[in-house]
Amino acid sequence: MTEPVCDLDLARMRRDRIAKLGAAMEAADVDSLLLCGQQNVSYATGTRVPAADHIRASWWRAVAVLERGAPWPHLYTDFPEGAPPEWPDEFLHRAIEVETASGASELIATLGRGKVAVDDAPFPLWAALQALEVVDAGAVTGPAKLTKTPDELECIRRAQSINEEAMRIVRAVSVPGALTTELSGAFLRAVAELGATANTVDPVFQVMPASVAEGPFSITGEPVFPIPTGADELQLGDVLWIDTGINLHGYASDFGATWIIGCEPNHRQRDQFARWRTFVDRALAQVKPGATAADLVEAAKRDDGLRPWLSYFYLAHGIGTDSAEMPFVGTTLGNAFDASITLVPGMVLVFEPVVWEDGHAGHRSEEIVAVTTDGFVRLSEPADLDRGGS
Amino acid sequence: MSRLDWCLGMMVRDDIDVLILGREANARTVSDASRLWLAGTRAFGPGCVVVRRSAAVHVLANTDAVVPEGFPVDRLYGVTWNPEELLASLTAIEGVPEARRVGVDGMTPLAHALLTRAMPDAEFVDAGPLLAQLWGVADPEKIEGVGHAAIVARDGLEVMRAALVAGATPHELRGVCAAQFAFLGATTPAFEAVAAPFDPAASSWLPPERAFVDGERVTLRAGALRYGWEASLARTYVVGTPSVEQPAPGGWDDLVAACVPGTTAGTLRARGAVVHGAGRGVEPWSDDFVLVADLMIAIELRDDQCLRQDVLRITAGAPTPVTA
Repeated sequence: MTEPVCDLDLARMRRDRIAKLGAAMEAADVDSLLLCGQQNVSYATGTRVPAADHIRASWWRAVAVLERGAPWPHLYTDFPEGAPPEWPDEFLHRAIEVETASGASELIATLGRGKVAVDDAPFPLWAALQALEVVDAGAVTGPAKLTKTPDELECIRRAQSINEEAMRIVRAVSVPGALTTELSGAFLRAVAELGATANTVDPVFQVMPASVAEGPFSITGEPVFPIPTGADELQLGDVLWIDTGINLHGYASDFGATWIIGCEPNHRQRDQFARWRTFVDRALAQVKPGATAADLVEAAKRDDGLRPWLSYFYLAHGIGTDSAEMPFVGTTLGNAFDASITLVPGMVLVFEPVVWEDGHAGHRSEEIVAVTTDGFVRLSEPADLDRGGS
Repeated sequence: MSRLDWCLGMMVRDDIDVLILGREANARTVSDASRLWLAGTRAFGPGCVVVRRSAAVHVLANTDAVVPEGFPVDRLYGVTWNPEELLASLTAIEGVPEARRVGVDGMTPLAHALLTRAMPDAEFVDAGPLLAQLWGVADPEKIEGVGHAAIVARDGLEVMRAALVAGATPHELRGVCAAQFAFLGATTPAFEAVAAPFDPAASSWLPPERAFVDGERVTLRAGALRYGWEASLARTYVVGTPSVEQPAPGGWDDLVAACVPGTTAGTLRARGAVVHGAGRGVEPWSDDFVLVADLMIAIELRDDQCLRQDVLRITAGAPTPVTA
């Protein structure tokens, strides 16, 4: 078990986030912050909406508008019962259909004068915004979300703890003959019963081929991951890569592991995990304020200089109300980008290197830490080979 | 004709050179891609590109495991966190750099900057009207796909009903529904199942954190996404042993009878109904959307006692229940 970061106070967390957004608006000289992306609305307001497929969620979207200097964002939602209890009535409104031209105009009319930062717009809203000075909301949400308060860290830790507990239940039924979709069902039931606010991603239980050539076509020549879970029957000795995530109080978890089905991991698989451990430990040894993402990349490289992770992803990513958010470490954005990211307390890193031995599959796990004043604290249990096993 | 063929025909008619789709349901509609399902909204990005001149659909994916068999792998472009790489992928697509009118289903300032570099002469227009036309196409695959999803959704609601007893919690019922969906092979929902106290004044979508009690009215909702097609239903029960399904709300039969070709969505909404299409996801029909035979319609109605939602297939005569 991980240790609590603090006594969770959700109202305090929401106040702190609004304050951070307000400060970021000042710094970016933004007058109105218009948020339509649900993860950003969740960040700005803490409101809940039902978890749904993309287009349904788009149609149902709650919208938040924070004016410079205002104490609260205006929240427009079809689900007022999802608003936090302290939300003032004058800042809680019925939903505006920003998917329509009339709704878009109605919303634009509520904005103050000046520069508007917007994160995502249905086209009618985008068209209506063209009369204004518009910038990307990342100029505000980016700095605000980059570091987490202790309450935010505690939300991530608790979300991860629920995710980990559910995976212990799933591990027990991951036996030869089981269908991977049954694993998904066991997971989804477990996270609901354990109190998750929602599930956020189709749980991935992917049987890995021994070699890339034996697997599906790969555009990069690397292992393909993740692929949506089909009804594959598990076989003795299968190497199963897992990636799941849930939402708790708006915050994401991210659980990655490699399981060997029906038998003990062999010598080679233990060695693969040992190397994975080494790469992460080398990177973790660098995690402290002042280090850069480039330092982590350099530390985690293989002895031959190659990067032990999937080139289309990263060595590590941040997590918060989005399941993958800044800081990104080791992407193809390059060394200059990595060197521009300096670690500060409150940043969260999800490490997910990959050890792949073509012909013998490989190991992928994930581990979450938060940067502290002198190092890091774990928000996930340490990875292990057959994590969640007995 | 495939939905892509229909789409290309509409692009000709609407003079759209390139369609850039960010919403997963829209990408599913034109490409049948089955990429990883994520809950909630995502910022607009070029996840799927349809080019009129080459009659080709291009999909953002690292593998052909998520597109139909036979999909040309040279029409896949790779996942990346680097916008310059994405830009290079887009400009490498035949017909994209010289596009003049480009239909999009959303926009962000960053995406606008990127797409303007990829297509310097482009005027961006709303893809919504074209997509609405696509929803209006009667499609045998839609009938079959929504039908499969309906079987899953109905089964999910049935296990929730069986588990609806005094002391059961909304979380537990959500869990049994998801497990049943997965047992039937559907690990993705249209929405996460809901068990909520029926309240004529509330949405009945976000339940409180408490157990249900005997005699309480509870609305159950189940919505499945099966092979990328969706269907959903809702019923209201009085909690007991067993819990008892409540009759349909007043006006339900008349509402169903009104679901015939030629009727508009607005006419049905005037009866107090929530109305949308069911297909590759919700099809959010506008008020002037006209029903035609073989469309799949989702209708929801409530009175002060209960709420009911079903998917129906429009026919030349009375609609056929799909989820009932």
